[in-house]
Amino acid sequence: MSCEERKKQKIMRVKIVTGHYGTGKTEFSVSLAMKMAAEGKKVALADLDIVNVYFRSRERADLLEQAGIHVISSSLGHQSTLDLPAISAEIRGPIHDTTTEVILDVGGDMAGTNALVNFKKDVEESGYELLYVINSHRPETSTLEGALKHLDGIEMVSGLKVSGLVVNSHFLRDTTAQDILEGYALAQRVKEERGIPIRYISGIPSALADLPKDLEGEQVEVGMYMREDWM
Amino acid sequence: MAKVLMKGNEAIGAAAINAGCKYFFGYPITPQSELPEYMSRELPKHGGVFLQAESEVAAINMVYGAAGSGVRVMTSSSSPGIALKQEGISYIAGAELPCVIVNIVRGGPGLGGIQPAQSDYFQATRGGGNGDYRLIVYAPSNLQELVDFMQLAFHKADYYRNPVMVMGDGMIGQMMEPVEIKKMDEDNLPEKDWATTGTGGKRKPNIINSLYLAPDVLEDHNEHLERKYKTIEENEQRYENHQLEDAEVVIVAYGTTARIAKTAIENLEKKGIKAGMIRPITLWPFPEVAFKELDEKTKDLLVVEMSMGQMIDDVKIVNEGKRDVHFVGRSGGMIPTPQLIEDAVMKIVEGRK
Repeated sequence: MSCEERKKQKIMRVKIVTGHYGTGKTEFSVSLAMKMAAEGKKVALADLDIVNVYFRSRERADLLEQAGIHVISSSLGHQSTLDLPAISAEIRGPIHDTTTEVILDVGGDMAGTNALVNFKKDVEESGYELLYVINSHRPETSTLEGALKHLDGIEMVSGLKVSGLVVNSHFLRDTTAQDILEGYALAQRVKEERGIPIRYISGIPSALADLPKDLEGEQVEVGMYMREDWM
Repeated sequence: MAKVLMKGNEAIGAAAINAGCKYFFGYPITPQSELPEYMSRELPKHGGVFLQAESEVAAINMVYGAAGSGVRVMTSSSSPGIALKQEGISYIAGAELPCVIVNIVRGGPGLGGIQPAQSDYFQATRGGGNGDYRLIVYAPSNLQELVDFMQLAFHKADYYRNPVMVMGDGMIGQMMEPVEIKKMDEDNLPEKDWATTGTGGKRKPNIINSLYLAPDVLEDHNEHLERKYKTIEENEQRYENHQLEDAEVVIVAYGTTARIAKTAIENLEKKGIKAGMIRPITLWPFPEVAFKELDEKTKDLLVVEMSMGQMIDDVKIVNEGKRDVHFVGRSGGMIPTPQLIEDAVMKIVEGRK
């Protein structure tokens, strides 16, 4: 696919994953990175989460690096226990490297989006997709108003425009196609309001398998990478 | 309310509001800051008051004052913050006031770290504050229990006029799980005729106090408290038994650790080794009844904690020397793996041969 074609389809090399906290941004980011790496792409995953120190993608650095994914987090390394807002400037490398697919896993809510502002110029130069994760099972984003409120807040803080929606409604391992369809219905209403297309649908494989075939958006199998087996 | 996906810390807030909590006084600390954040946003919508105090010491004393007026009030913190609250907790216990204290435990001692731990067991069950007092301590192991125990905590606090603690490790505060916030029936609560709500010129003022200068009066007060604690010990022990029948080794674990132990027990079963578990749900009163019902075949107890070993003392007390008591754990914010527990059980079983 040529660069022009990619732009037309709004498929960009740099993908920024945002959303209300707890919607599943990190699980989606890690799953998408693993999917793209499996497709033979050169992938870099940057963990921009400086809001919360639990369940960040850097915790899975070993697994991701084994899959050939370049993991970038704090300038002080992946030490998961550091409660410091130190983001590595190393992120700029892959953003400007036209051969690398980049996923920026941004922290939750408007507060988490602040970390993105540092890299606004870079992503505007490289071109980007700003993805907004929707999980209708989260009380704060279960309604259209709630989903729009967080979407608008993230656009306001980042100064960037959301270009695609990610449907990620789930109940962990108990997720059914019905759960995903509820999220899909909410995403459609967001699309009607803001004209933003549904870019991805993510879920556990068993739930995705039961979905109707004509849905909008690329499907991403969630690997439950962030969930320990005993959870 | 339908099932929703919530993070532990915000689920605590939602459950507290559902239980009629109207006042929250606290001070932020990782890994529980989402809770005051949630309360600051949601409590005013429900006619309540959120106040960020200037310190943990101030927060617990605000709780003391609000509890004296008979309202449902809570505070929350994490380990070193709870350490700061101990004086106030002792005063509240001495003055016999109901309140709920949430501790989302992180590694210690001192400032320690910010990852999950269970090293505040002594602090919760032995009291960091002074004097003969006790807290009821609930230790949920999943988010549904967490939300259910929040209302239970407010209820028991009112029923016994005693502070109640809900203790979860950092993982319980941070993990996401589906929960359903239900309302429990609370018909059997006594009138709060002790509360300082104004006399209206019709009665003598109620006085909230923990100072008794006359030793004989203070001893009477202590004996009264002790009778209350005995009643709580008789009526409030909670625990879960898991596959105790024919178990060679019984694991004793609570909270997140009990979930890891369950996975270990499943894996051991596949290897033909029968292990079971007693999961204390109340850390005080410690569920000694559970140990009286153990199978004759059980020769060993394996205590698993996210600490260097604190609950093991209570296990040894209730075991009365009948079985060998072993320990395995991780500390400092490291989380035990099922493998660690399996290896510890295997070592016990093989050592017996």
